[in-house]
Amino acid sequence: MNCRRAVSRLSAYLDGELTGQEMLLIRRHLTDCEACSKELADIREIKMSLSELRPAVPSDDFLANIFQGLDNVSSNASGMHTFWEMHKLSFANGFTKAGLATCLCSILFLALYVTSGGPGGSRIQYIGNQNMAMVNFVSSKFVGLSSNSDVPYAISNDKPLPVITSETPYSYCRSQCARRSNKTDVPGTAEKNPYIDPHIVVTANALYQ
Amino acid sequence: MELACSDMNETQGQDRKLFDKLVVKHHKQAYNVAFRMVGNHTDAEDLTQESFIRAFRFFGHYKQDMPFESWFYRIMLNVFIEKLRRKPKAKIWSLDAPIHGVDGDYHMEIPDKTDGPEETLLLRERENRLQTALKAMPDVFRLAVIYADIEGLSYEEVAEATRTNVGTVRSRIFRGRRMLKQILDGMD
Repeated sequence: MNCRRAVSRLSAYLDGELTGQEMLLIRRHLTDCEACSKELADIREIKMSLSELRPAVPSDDFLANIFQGLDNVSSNASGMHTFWEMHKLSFANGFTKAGLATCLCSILFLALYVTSGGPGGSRIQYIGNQNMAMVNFVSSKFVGLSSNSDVPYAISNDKPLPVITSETPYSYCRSQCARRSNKTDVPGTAEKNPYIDPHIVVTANALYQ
Repeated sequence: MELACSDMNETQGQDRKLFDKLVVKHHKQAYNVAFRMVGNHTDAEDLTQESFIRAFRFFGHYKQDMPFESWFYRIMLNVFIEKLRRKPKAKIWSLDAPIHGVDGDYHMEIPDKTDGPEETLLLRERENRLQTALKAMPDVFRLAVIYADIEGLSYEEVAEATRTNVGTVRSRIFRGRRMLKQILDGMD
């Protein structure tokens, strides 16, 4: 090892931060090199001087001042975090409820498909937009619907019937429910439309003539 | 929603208690490092306090697989750099340099308020020389030397605190010590 390589490693040698092999190489070099040995002694002296520096002492109220600063942060932060976390949780809960309700609605439609009896039965078809489900009852209840999801309508064998899907505006659902009857006269239950309002699903049986 | 708020307050309270314990444990050491970085008590207290406040703000990001000192010194370094950028560069006056007056040159005399023995005076003088020399070094080398030689951190810990690698730390410590010796020799 030459002096240039040795000198650049003397600090690390002193600190024990070299590999075992490097330590041996440096040690061998130092036994034969007075200049590098002198350099090592100088580095050792500097290191010792620094390590012997007495710790600087803060003022008596230093710790209290730090805690005062932390108190200020805590009192400012608790309001903000509470406000944000509240709204974050509120959004999360809202989405969770909407997601659950949508699943329930999907299951419900599937259940109707499976269980719906009566002449002609019923089937669910997906046309056009995959997000739109078409409930097609050959029976007098609900028949088909157009691909226009903005204004749902139905064509029955006899007369137009209102059709409720996940795309149907809630205001329309509500107006149809109100016009027809109260809940006791309408088979099935009236729940809120999950797409429009997470708390209401209108079942296929809720509206019919 | 009310339940969520009280849960959060409880978590914040626990964080604060834990952080307070860390402050009590580390504040003197942190102050010492800050003093060696800035060279005077007022700035050292400001730097330390601001660093603890920032550390508390980011306490949620602290991963306990890293020693608290390394994480904290990283924050202190950022605060130090920001303060340097905000503060106009101060001119460093040598205490030994003659002051040119109308009637001739004068030398600054700083009254020593302590009545300690000669050894204490010599020790104080040596410490002042060292601190002056430290302050005259470029920041990156000064910090490396402070962390390694005053705080006793390993090269890896210094690398974590300064967001560099061991190779860079090794080079900075080597060059920093050399620089310090040259400055001290120049002061004699």
